[in-house]
Amino acid sequence: MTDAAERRPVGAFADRRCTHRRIGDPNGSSCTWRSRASARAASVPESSPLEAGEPSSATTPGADDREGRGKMRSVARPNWWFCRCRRISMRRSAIALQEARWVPSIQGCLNPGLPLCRASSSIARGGRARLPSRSPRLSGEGRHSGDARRGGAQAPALKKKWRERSAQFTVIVPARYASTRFPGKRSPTSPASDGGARLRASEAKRRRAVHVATDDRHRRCRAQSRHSVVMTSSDHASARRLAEAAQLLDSPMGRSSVNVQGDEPLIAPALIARWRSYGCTSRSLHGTACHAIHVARTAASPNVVRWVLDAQGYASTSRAPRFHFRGSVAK
Amino acid sequence: MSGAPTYRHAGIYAYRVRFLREYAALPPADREGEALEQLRALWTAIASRCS
Repeated sequence: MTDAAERRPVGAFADRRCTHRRIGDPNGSSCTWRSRASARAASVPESSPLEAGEPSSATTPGADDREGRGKMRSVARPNWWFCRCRRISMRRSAIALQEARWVPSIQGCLNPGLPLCRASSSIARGGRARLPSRSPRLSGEGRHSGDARRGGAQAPALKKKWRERSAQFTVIVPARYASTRFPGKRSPTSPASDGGARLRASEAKRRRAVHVATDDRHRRCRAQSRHSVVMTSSDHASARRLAEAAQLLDSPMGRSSVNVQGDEPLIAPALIARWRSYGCTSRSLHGTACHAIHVARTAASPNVVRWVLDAQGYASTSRAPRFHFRGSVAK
Repeated sequence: MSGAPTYRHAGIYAYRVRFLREYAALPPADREGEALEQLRALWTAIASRCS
């Protein structure tokens, strides 16, 4: 028995994800590197590796045996893998927190009395696309928020109303089971990615719920205890799923919906919160957040989605490395 | 990075709910081969700015 094992009751880590570390540890309860190494050193002369693989077999063999086997089967990846993923993700989110900023993708009119995006509807009809940079002047209601800013009879009221409404937003995490690239991929609400705990905690602090939009019943069961779950159809693309979720959540029209991608559950909460101030002031209908790339390998990876900002600050995207500068050398 | 004004996507989007409804009804853009749905939005935006 090591020091650590004596201090802790046997089976204290039954609910932790470190079962794999019990391999080679007959006591089945120590989790630190030091104690694990010393336990292995102690176990080598007295027990075979197979026996040592059974966790907590020393105390109550029957019950712990079953528990241990179940655990072993459920753990797909070693703990260090999760730790590493989390560390990378934390590091990235720390960078994102410092550097990331919201950029508009589409800007347009936010007035409730007018069609929001004439461009999209006219494109859908097959017509010529044009976003209203400024809505037609109407007297009284149906004014543009930009007009409201400049003055008018109802300007202050409108401004306040729009400020209030555009400051509100809903956080939705799509957890799609029938994923094209990764079918049955890990849900953002799975324990592997801390169960979305960080996101949930930060949003709970700001009195916002995190909604999980999923198409999978199992996933719903798993997420239901911790999140608000919206069941959507499985044959949706991302935006449709969000639209359906927003409809099911009965979000008011002026509100914005912030979509946190499933593979970014550890995103900096401050970045999400920043939408509040950004969404208030900007007129963007669709925005995204990005931060500068500092690593050449990241810049070359096709898995990294990149944005390039134009002179007006609008974003455009690709997976391909962008803009070769003649004479420049990638470090 | 030497002079490349490229930014990494931070895995987050925001949509106005009203826009989201129209956006979801949009047909796929021509350049959506990269499996980036946001290209649809961009296509709309670019088309809107060019016209």
